[in-house]
Amino acid sequence: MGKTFIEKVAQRLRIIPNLNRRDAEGANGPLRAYPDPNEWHDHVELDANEWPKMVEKRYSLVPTTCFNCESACGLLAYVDKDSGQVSKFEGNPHHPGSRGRNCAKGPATINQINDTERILHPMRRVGPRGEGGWERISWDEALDEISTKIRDSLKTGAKDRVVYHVGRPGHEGYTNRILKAWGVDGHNSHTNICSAGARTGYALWHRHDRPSPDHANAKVILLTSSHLETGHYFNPHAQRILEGMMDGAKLIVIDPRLSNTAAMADHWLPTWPGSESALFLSWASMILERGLFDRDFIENWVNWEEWLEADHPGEPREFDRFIELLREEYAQYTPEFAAKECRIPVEQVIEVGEIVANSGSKLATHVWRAAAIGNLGGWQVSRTLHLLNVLTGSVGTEGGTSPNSWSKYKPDLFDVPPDPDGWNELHFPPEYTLSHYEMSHILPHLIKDGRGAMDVYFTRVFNPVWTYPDGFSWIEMLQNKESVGCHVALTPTWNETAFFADYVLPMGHASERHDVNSYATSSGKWVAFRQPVLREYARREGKEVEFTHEVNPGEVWEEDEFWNELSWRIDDGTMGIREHFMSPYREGERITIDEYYQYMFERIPGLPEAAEAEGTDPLGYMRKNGAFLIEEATYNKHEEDGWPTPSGKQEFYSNSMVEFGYPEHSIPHYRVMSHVHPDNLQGDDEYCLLPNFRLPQHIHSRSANAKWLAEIGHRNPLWVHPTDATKLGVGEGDLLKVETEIGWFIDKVWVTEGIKPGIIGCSHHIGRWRRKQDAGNRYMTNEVEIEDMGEGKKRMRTVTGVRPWKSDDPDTNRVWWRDGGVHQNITHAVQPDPISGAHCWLQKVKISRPVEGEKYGDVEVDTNKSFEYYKRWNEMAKEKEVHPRGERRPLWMKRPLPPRKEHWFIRE
Amino acid sequence: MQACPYDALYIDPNKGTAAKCNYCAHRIEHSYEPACVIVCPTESIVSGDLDDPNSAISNLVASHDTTVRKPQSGTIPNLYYIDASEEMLDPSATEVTGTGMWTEQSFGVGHFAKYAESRLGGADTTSMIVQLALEKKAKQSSPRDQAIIRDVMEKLSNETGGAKRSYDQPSKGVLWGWEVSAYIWTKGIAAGTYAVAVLAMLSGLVEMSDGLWAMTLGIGVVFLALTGLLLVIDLDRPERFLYVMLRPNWDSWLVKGAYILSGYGGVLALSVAVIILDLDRTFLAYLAIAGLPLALLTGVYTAWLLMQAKGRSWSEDSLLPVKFLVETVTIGAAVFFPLALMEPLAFIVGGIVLVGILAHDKHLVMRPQMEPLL
Repeated sequence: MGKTFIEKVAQRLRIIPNLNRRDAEGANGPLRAYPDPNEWHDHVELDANEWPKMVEKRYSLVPTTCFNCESACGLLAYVDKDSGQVSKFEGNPHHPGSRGRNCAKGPATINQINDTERILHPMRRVGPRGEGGWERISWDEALDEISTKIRDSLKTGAKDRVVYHVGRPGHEGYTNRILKAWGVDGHNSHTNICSAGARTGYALWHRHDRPSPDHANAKVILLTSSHLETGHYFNPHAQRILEGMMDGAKLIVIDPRLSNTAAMADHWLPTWPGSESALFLSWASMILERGLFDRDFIENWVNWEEWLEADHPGEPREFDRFIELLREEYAQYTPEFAAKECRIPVEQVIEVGEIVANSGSKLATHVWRAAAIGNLGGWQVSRTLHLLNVLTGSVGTEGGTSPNSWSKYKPDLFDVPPDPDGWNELHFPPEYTLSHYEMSHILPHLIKDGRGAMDVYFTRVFNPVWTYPDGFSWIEMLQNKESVGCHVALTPTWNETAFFADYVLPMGHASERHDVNSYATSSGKWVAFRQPVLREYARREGKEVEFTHEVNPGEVWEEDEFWNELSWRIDDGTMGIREHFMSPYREGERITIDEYYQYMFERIPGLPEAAEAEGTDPLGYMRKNGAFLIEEATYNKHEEDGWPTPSGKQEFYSNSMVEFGYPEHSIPHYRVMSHVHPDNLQGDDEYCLLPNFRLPQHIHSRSANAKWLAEIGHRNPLWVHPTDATKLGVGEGDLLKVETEIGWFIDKVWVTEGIKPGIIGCSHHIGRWRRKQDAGNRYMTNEVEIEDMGEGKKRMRTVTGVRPWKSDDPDTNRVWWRDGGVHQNITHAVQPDPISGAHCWLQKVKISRPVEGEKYGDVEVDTNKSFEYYKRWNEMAKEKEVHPRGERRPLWMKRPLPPRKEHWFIRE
Repeated sequence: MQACPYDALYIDPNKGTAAKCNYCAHRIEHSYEPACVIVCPTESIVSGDLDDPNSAISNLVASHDTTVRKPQSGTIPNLYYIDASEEMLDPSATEVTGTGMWTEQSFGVGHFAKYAESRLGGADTTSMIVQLALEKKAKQSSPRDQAIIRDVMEKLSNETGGAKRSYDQPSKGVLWGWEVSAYIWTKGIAAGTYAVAVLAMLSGLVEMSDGLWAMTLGIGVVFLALTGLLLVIDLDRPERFLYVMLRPNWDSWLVKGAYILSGYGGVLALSVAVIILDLDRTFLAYLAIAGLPLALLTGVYTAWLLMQAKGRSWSEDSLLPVKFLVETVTIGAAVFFPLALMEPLAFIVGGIVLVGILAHDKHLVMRPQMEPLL
């Protein structure tokens, strides 16, 4: 359509803007996907909002990695050359994991950067803990005061009273090195409520405690997950699963809930939670019966002889005999048995079993959270799932499942301090001999039990008051100065745990910090660099910056530099800490952050050569490109390195399980029934609550101020199957009371066929709150009132939901939702699995209609009850506690921040 | 925004202008692919040149079964879907309950975002969406409105026995409010009074005195000005009303209507000049040669405009222009004859007719907007 005469005249008279397109290059010829890296410092784009007026904007594109989940996908920050600020984030095509694409959380980083309620300065508590009184202090004050407290603690000789508790590390090894420099066994994590169950199952096999499925090349993809593994490697895995499927792979999803992934699957098996091991063993039995196993792999790489020696000493050590005995051992796991345990049709068990049994070396399997962390004995799920890979010969193969350590790069650090000279029994209590990672979710209970206390406690991108079960016990612990001498919250935003801190120190987001990342997102091994983009931009413009807080908003800093500075100040010159912070390049000088990464990058295989080809050095290469592919594919590394187990092979038979008191688990079996097994839910009103599934566009704590993400998901109704809804006499939107072992909450009903009958689903990802005196995250937080009713009883009521408010950002006044969901996590009793130590997320609940006066969002918890309940579960571990040779735990198994060898033994 | 069969348009709250996906025109013009194509983790969106038979997209469309949305709407869509089910493409194929799996709308968006603050009290009713549709301002809805709310909610949640919609964009509410029904009424008065006057004069029914001319033209000018005012203030960007005339798309009745209004206004202005400058009154008759058709077009063109709104039931009413013609003449008579007769009874009857027509106009504008898109 050409221009009319009237329009041409009006444009020439300048009554209306001139919109001639003669200057547009237009879509003549092929379209590009990304700007050429050589143009990244001078990228020009048309302003989307001004269009059709052609207004050019000049950008400098600086690569970094996303900080909104573990995947660390590549991002390009668009630094507007006129304002000197970041305008937006798009993908980094150079990043081998994300390959230029992102999920919603990546681009939404700009919301977090521009959040009007960000914490911009270090804050110190005024008045009692938790009252909400804060004053702004300088970094100098913060560093001096905190370093003094740490020094005081270290000088007592204690090795376990300064603790760094991390939610999302987002880096490789930085803070462990710091803790070693201080000489403390002080690392605690969130793994215990996340992947500890799965890790234990995998570690029993081959010490490597995490799988890396090669989805893109698989023939069969078998996921026991709640949509792309509940937030781990969403984007990178989604890409490769689809690639595999486009190439003909079959997708099988095991999940009692119809997740997004299950909706895409060729087969969706809604198994009853905790029964998955029965299913996998029935398939194992099928494989053995039909002779579809990989004889070569099993014969050469599995410790079957050890099993024969231990459990069948009279039998000949012959492989064929082993197979016959194994067939007998697993004969009980018939398809009918599996169908009954899992409560799915036997036809489905057989049909899908045949697909799995015939997958050969191209079976890509994955479990990370889901059933492994939901159930008592959940570690059996990963152990039996891996058995399928072992039998089909798909361990470490192309299209199969490899250990993640093969494609995860471990950086070389410029200085490695000695291992800690002590063992922290609050993290690794003696009764949890096989637990994977620290017993983090029972920290308040152990302290309440008199087992220890902490002088200085850092919570870092970690929000246990909200994310963890039994949050009121955390509040009790945090408010007690005897239990926690000093609480420092390192966080980009306010959160429920920071409300109870002594210091709240703002640390930067994806574009405001230094980190190195490497994750097993496919068979390739890559390394990526997260950097403060405005610092890099300044450098490109010829300006040097000494500390990241100079370029970040307000005084927002980053942990890397903060730890260095803090460590320096802790040491009064006599403690031997400072010697671990000296530059490897300049004798006698303190190391700078650039030097830290320079040293690391110089030692990455292939990176110096790649850098030279671009006329720069390794650090320069990473600053410019953001990522580097070290190895294209990492298959079959066991052929060179073997397996890091006592036998050097895949441990089908685990001597450690026998020695540490669990002979019934010497080999993979389904011997522990879930605590929410149907046999345990006898009452008409008893259901299984399924809370451990997330929304694709959120993370647990730091996405609440991302307006675009809050807009997509802000409430968490109860998923109720229509038959259950009829039984309960409720319809859409009606309220139900969900009663756990220690409390209850009231939520709204969402009637759906997407949840297995007998199970109530409710995402533990939503229900954020703040009290009247608290600030931040108003896009997602309800305003609540917390009442201490005495005798351990606590009540939380929702005063108002989410409300629009006026600020410099007009969008805050355009919030179109009010429902901020319900905080159910706080009503969950802690349930530490005696073997893996994992918190079993699923809760046995009673469902009823609320009575008069009980409203939507009401929560009640009894922390006295939760303490008694913890003791019952703790007893499960205590009654089996045994320490062969005085070992605290198997010496060959992994432990984060492992102390010196002598501390691995219990002294009588 | 009423015309889009896909409900794709919205008012950008920052700029007050209508917006929708424009295929990332600002990127295309610099030879970059659209942003959605680049970012999608699973490469689910493919863009390209459908006129090039060798392009990837042409090959995909040629080698797969594809579906499009609402092929019957005459939009000739260039957006093809592979492996999409009816539930994914047709909103009426899914059950809607007013809330989503992860969302619950309590306030207006886009055009209604400005009312955010004042609506806090009203968010407790059954569905804020419907309340917005009625353009109420943050008060508890009256019993009559509650009945309408129930009625609309019932329509929304028809049992399809099939898939349930668990996520959707927030409802944009009803766009055309009281300003639109009011302007149809004022325009009817402006056009009808003059048209009936001229018809009465030509048929010899009424002798047009100067006073009668003055009142007729006066009402015409005043109500035409009111019409213009209503049209302009109804816009989220009032200063842009000129764009309709200066960047004309001659296919649109918004444009043709604007020029008709201007033409009619011109005739009225010239007629007023005749009276004020005391020129020969036969000029009025000559002006009426253009004036009468322009006046009737002024009254009727809105029907053709409404029929261009392919998303709404107006487009299915082929008698709409006739109805508007009848309404124009009726409303004109209701104003003109009382003035000509100066009888109290005539004024009463005329008044009743005017109120009735106003109520009808309100219903005419609101009802189709509250129904699901065609």
